[in-house]
Amino acid sequence: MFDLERAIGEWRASMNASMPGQAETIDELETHLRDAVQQRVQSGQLTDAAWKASLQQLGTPQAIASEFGKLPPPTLLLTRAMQVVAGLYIVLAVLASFGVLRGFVAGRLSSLLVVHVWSIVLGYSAMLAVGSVAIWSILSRAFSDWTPAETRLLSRSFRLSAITSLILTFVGLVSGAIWFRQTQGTLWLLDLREMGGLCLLGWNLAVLWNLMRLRSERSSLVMGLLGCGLTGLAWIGPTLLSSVTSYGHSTTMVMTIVALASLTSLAAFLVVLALLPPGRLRFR
Amino acid sequence: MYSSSMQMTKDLIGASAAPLILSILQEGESYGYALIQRVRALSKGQLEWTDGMLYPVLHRLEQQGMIASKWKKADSGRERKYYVLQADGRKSLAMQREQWRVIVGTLNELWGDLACST
Repeated sequence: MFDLERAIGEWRASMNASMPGQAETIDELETHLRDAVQQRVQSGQLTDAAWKASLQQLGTPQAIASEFGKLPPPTLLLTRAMQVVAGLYIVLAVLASFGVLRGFVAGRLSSLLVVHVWSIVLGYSAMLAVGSVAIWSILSRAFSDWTPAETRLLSRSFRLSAITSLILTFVGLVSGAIWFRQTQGTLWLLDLREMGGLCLLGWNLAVLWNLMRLRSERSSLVMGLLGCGLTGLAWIGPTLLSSVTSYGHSTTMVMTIVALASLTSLAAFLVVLALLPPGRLRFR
Repeated sequence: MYSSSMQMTKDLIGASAAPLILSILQEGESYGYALIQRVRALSKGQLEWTDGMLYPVLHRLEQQGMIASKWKKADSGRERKYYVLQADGRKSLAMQREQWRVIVGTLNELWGDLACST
C-alpha cells in the first residue's frame, strides 16, 4: 500500500542531495506538495496517483536546484560578519559589567560612576561597531556592489549600532555630569574626555539624521568611518595628549604621530574608496 | 516557468512571472500553491506553471526587497510560508504595469492593422 509519508521522506532525501543546506526551501516545497496532493485526492484521485502527478508538476530536484542556483549568492558571509561584530560587542558588555561591578563592590566606584563608565564604554564601542560596519561595507562594495538584501542588512546594522551608541553615550554624559556636580559642585568641567563625549553625541545625531533623512549610502559610510576615528580620539586622545605633552616622552610622541598619521592615511584611503563607484577594485 | 498548450516562449514566460506574482500579492498575502492556483484560474487554465520554478522567482523577489515572507500556521494547522508585497514591490509593479501597457498597446496597434489588411 502506498505510504505518502515515506514517499515524502524519500523525496526530501533526494532534494537534500540536490540542494544541501536549504532545509527551509525544502520545507516550503514539501508544504506545496502536500497541498497539491490533498487537492487532487479531494477531487477524487487515489493518493499514489495524486502524489505522482503532483511530483511531476513540481519538477525534478535537479531542475529546481538549477533554478535556485541562478539566484544571487545569499548574504551568509555578511550575516556572519555582523554576527561576529555583535558577538564581540556582547562579550565586551559582559566584561564591562563585570569590571564596573567589581569596582562598585570594592568601593572604588560609586553607583553613578558605575553607570557612567559602563554606558560610556559600551556607547563608544557601539560607535566603533558602526565604524567596523562602515569599513566592511566600503571594502566589500569596492569589489562588487551590494545586493538589495545586503544593503538592507548593512543599513539595519548601521542604524542599530548608531542608536545604541547615541543612547548609551547620552546616559554616560548625563551620569558623568551628575557625578561632577556631586563631587566638584558643577555639572560640567572643560574636561577633554567630556568634550570628546559631547562631540561624539553630536556626531551620532548627525549619523542618524543622515541615515533616516538623507538615506545617502556614501555619506553614511564616510560618517561611520569618521565616527570611528572620533571615538578613538575621544577615548584615548586625552591620555595620548597628556603623555605627549609631558616632558621627556619624545619616543611616545614620535610613535603617537606615526600611529595617527598611519590611521589618518588609512581613513583617507577608505573615504576615497567610499566615494568611488561600486566594484572599482573588482578583478577583470 | 509555465508549461502551456500555447507553447509560450521561455523569455515571455520569464518576463511575465514577476508582474503576475506582484499583481496577485497586491490583493493580499498569499503562498506558493495558492499563487499557482490563482494564475491557473485567471488564465482559465491556459497558463500551467511548472510548480517548482515559481519558488526561485519568489525568493529572488524577496532578495530584491519587493516581497517579504513569514511562516504562519494555516487553518489546516500546517505551517505555510506566506508572502506579502512590500513598498519596493508596489513601486516596481506600478512601473512594470506601465511598461506592459505600452507593449500590449503597441502590439494591438500593429495586429489591429494587420487584421484589417488581411
